[in-house]
Amino acid sequence: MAKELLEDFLVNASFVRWIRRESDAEERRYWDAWLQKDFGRKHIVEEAEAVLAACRQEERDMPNIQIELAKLETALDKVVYQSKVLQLKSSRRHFLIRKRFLAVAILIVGVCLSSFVFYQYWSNQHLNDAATADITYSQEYRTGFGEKVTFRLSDNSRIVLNANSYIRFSTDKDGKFDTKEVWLEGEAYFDITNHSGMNERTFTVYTTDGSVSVLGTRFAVKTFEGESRAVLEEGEILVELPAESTGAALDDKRRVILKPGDKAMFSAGYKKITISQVNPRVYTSWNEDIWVFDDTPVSEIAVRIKDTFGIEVIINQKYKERRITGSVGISDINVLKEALSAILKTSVWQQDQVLYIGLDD
Amino acid sequence: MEWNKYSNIELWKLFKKGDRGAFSELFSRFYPRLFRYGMSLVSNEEAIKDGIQELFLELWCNRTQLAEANSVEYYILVSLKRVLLKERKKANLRQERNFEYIESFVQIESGIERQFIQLESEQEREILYKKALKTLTARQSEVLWLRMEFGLDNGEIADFLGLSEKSARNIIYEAIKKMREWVALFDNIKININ
Repeated sequence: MAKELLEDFLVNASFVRWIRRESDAEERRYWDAWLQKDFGRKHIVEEAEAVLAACRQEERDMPNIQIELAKLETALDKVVYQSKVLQLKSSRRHFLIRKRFLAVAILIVGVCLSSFVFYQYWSNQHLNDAATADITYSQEYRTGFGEKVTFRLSDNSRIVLNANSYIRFSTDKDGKFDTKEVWLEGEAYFDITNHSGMNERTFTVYTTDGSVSVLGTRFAVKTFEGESRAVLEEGEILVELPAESTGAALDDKRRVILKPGDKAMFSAGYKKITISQVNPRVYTSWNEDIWVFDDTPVSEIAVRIKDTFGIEVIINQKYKERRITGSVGISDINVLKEALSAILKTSVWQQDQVLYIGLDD
Repeated sequence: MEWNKYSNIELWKLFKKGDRGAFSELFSRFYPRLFRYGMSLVSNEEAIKDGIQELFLELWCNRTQLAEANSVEYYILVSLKRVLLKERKKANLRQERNFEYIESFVQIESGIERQFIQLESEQEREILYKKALKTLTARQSEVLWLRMEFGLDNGEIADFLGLSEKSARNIIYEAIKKMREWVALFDNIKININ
């Protein structure tokens, strides 16, 4: 058997990972067993550790990592509603984001970065049009907490995807965007250009509970567990339950046309559509970085904060059912905190990922 | 949380799910090697610190869009390079790529003669290898450093430097062989003295 030399092992990245103690359990087991088989191999390990130690730079030249980490944590806590505006072009091929993560990550990273740098220097301004970039690579998009994305279609229609949501666009057989249908999980605002006459087309939003079709109009759709909601600001939309979910007897209640100010709650599971009248701004203003409250209980606002920013909210019992009417800017969570504090006349403070309302009373 | 029991890939998966603890561990774990790599690109310490902050903020912002990394080490290294090069272009400073930085490890502290007598302990072994590093070419140092300090595999080193995978492997092989033989010279000398 050939003699085992140090260089035979250091050319293997797995071995080096094990020496650095950065292996996962499986890799560790493998090399631990290798060592067990022949304790003479111990000297190879010692030499490798010496090489590793030799390659390490003097720690004294290094900045203080704890301080740098603290800086990062502070900055992460400030990461809030970042708006990105992305252009959808229908003439190029697309790829799912996951397949080309390097190229797309760099593109999206670039956009987010310019928004973030913008935010750092002018922290109280709106980020609405922070950056424009092409997103020709993907047919689906998912937003994280505190993130909002605006898609501009080539006919100047706009789709704003709220935080913690997912949208999928359909494509035709050539891989071009076919901006007539989208699938939604979460919340989005649609501002669809009216195409009449020869160019007339229907734009449809699908959720698990049914579809919302429109000719040209402004409305918002949100999905929940077990039902979906559509609120119409202007124009006309048609809400329809999926065919399979209804029996013949329910034909006339399977589809409803909404007027501005109508809110439809629709559910495939419960096989129904319920209409009520609302102030549509309560449900659509978020797309301008504003939340409008209309006799809204604080407990409901807490849910909204959690869904949008991913922050838990703990409220003093006293304030849970208090109702608020008004509007507040949400480009910065600190603005929201101050507004709530002023309206409720109590303390609102945040620690890590938790918001505490009225707990100092 | 015992973060040091987790591999880089496991930390990466947790971070993508939004785990701040895993993310902080990745930051601390990678900081030294990122800083050292940064020094070889731009010699301004503040620019590197800022670049690393920027990089990790970007990563956090986009964590839901990132795919499962096959190699966390490679992805982070390549991203830092992009961030720093962009900053460098912006600053419009003429920076020299300083490979002597990678090569110039600790200064020799005591005379060679004294080394012979103290060859037993681990520390001395390390010092010997440190000197052996100085006998390598700049290219060998660079490749070796990417392997030992960054944990990149042959393919990644090859991609990063524009070499073939075979070249990368051979460079490491030759570098280690050279160092091992150089260090062995001292072992022989010691034996002869005794």
